[in-house]
Amino acid sequence: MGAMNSKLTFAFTILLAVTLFAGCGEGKDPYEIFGNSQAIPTIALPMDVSNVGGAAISPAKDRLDITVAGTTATVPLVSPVNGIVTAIDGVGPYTLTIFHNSRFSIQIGNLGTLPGVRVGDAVIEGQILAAVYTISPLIYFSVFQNGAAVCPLVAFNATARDRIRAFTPVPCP
Amino acid sequence: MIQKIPLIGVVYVLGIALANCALCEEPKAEMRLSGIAGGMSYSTAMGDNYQAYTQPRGAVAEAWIAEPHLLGPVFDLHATVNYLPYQVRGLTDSTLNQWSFLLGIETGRGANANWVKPFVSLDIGGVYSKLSIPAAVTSPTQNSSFLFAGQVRGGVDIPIWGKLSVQFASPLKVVFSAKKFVTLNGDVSLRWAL
Repeated sequence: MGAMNSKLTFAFTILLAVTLFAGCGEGKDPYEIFGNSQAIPTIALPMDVSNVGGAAISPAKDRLDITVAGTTATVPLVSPVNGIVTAIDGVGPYTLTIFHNSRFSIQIGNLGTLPGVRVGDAVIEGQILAAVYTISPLIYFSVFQNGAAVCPLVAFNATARDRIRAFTPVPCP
Repeated sequence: MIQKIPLIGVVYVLGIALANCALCEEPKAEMRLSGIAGGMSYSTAMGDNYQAYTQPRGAVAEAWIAEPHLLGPVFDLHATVNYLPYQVRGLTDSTLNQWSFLLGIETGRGANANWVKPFVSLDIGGVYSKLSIPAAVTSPTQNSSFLFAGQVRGGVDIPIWGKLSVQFASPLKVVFSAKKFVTLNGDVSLRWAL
């Protein structure tokens, strides 16, 4: 009886261990990171609209170049979406890729300072990512849908779209 | 963690009490390992998560413990360890590695080794999940979690030769994250009755 008792005590000690460990982990819960809706989101600009000093859409209509107005050192760039940082390329300026869901991701290039995020970080909408590259106050903004670069204007909200169209009337499909 | 202390205490005290109460009579038979199994697992995430994760193939290992005094001749304790590497759709080199450690009760095991045996089990336990990212990245952020989980598992056991049999099982597993992760798996394994 003593042996059986100790075996069952062992089994319940395992259950106790599961109870103790539940909730433990490092960083963010992976299931939450990829728990975004699969819908294509409508996003804002990665900065305040008042800081947009110019804009141009690339000839292939797959990239938006935004000139930053004002004192570039104080213009923070923020994430327009919830997602996870999947790549940081370059050695200054940097290019940051944020994955929102399996259909939608964005890329922000020509970032001046080392971004305050690392690969694998979960970022939320409005979170400060980096500062503008002061030598060339211009950022490159790309949107990817289902793996292909699309015209960024199609993803922007009305405020952002109006601001961009004030500088570049190029129609987007 | 502080909020969990009462829950931990209740689980532990109830467990020990149950163990002792169940043993207040004379034992009729000893607890013993009654079977082991190993095989392949195939999984698909359900609901919205279907679009986020691929259907991976993984591995499953199981063990059964007969405890005739507490569970009678019909029920067995069932322990399972399962590994599934879910790829994230739309990303390369990103894998959600999931290890499940579940313990529960199974019914359907008959004494006759020649029977085709349908079975069903209810298991609870924990799931450890870790998101791996490209190895080339220096100083990446690690994301992992250990969460409660449970599964209902039905299937059929078909004898092959002697104590060896093949099992086809279909566990419906729920990981209790903030947004529940529900998967329907298909397991094929070889079982050796002991």
